Amino acid sequence: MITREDVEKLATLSRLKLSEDEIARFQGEMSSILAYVDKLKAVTGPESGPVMSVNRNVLREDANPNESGVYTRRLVDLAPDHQGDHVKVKKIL
Amino acid sequence: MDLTTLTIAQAHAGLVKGDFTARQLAEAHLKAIGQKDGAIGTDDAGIHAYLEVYTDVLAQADLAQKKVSSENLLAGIPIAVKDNILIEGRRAGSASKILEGYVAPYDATAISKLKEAGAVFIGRVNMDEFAMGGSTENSAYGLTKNPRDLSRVSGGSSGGSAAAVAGNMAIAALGSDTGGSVRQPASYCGVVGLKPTYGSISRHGLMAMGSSLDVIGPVTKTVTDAEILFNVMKGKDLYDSTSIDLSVPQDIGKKLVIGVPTIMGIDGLDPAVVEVFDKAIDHFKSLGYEVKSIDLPNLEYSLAVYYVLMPAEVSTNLSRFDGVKYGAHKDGANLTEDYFLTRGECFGREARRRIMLGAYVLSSGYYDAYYNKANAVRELLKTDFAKAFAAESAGGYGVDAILTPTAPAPAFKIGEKVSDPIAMYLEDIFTVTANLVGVPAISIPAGEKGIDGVKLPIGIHLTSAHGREDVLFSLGKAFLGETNERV
Repeated sequence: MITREDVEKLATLSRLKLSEDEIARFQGEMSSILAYVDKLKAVTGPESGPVMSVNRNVLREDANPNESGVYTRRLVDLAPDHQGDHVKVKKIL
Repeated sequence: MDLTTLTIAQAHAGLVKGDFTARQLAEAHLKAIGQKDGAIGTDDAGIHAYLEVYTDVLAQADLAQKKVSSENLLAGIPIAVKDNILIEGRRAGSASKILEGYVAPYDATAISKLKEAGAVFIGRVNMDEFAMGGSTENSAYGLTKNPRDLSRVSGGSSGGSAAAVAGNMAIAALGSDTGGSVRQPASYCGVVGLKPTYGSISRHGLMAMGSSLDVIGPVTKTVTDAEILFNVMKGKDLYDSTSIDLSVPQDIGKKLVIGVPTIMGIDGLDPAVVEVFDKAIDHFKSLGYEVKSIDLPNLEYSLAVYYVLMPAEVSTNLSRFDGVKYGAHKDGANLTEDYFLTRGECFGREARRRIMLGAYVLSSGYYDAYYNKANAVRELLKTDFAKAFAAESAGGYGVDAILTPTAPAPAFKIGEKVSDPIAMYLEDIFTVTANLVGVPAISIPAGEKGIDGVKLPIGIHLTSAHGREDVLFSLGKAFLGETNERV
């Protein structure tokens, strides 16, 4: 079952700030959901692992890009903070 | 004549004959919205399907009028669009605060095809935030009510789409279906909802929830209308590498066989649903179809598989919302804190829960036990379905379609399930499998339950093999008594 520390860890990994009340609430809700999906453990047969070999990569080659700059203005304008052709972010170093 | 009760096929015929114009058709729907929809997020007595009604609807209709012709089935038809499908230059937000202010920079491929066909976009309709939920109660802007009974939910996540069509406030609507989000609200509101074959309609411009599950689907008044919209929107798309061209069989050419799974895999089916379902079987038999029992041994695990894989994909897809690239931004002391505040405050509770669940099942300690296991069982489900649709000579059951109820019960009361996620998730029990397997499925109205002086719609659900939407259309039209012509 999910502990309080698990919820805090998951919130950190997910970049989510939670209140105290929410941590307790999510702990209960996620525990009940995981208890439900635990029924998968009853399935016998092929074990985990083969999935990626079943699927095939359909990504296109990284070629034929849009003409440079065609979408720049409207995409940059969507950013909450921008300057010229640049998205503005806070210093990270 | 009340133009808002028309189907696509009827409205098209009227436009071609000149009985009315595209502008008159649009005006009738705008008037209906004005009378019935109210303002979402308020406590007025409206249905609250629409998040926004566009201001240029009549101008669109005038342009569409020029495209009206006997071949152009969608020219001038007013269509509502779910808030997670992009129309260039218009707001789109997946009913989430985190996309506050977002304006679509391009058209979804399905939208550009509808534009080409001359469809008129009447507005964007409500949904559960990022398509997560079965009642629209997870919308950040307020819920959408069921047009049949305003004290009940419209279903979800495409509840706004279903309510707009059922309330005669759009002739048809687009929804998206990841685990039942088109079919379940269609069932609750008494309209038709189609989840097409995975990849048959491009996902380009549909906001991603579970990328291996998502597909755009039509909500309509008739099966014929669903077929019309599907035919216009389908096809391989350069911008979605998982999209496919379906080779459409020319003629079904045989008497279709319907399979009914022996284990429904759920307790607590509403007796009215069982009654409608049993009557539907009899109706199909009376129409001359063979109905037989089939065994889908892993069906009972579908919902558990879904609630591992879907959150895993959600946690990945929703990581892009960071308050930097678009939408809302909450300012903290540094960039990391910006992320925590923006995502913590602007994602609703359901979205946050699924993001964290996804992070859990993908974490190194649990990856094999949950994520890989669920993927393995998903493959077993695909095998079960392949066997159901395979010819008897090849060791299969030889059925063309699988029949179940769409949902375990009719529309529930507003607020009834908000504090119990498992109860809410169980509403998807009959619908998630089609998404996991990638096959097409449709919900069609089949009966009603009388309660509190209201007749609540109940749907039945048909699933067919990959690319065999034609089987669903044929069976659906026969069931509803629509003329069974290819459109």
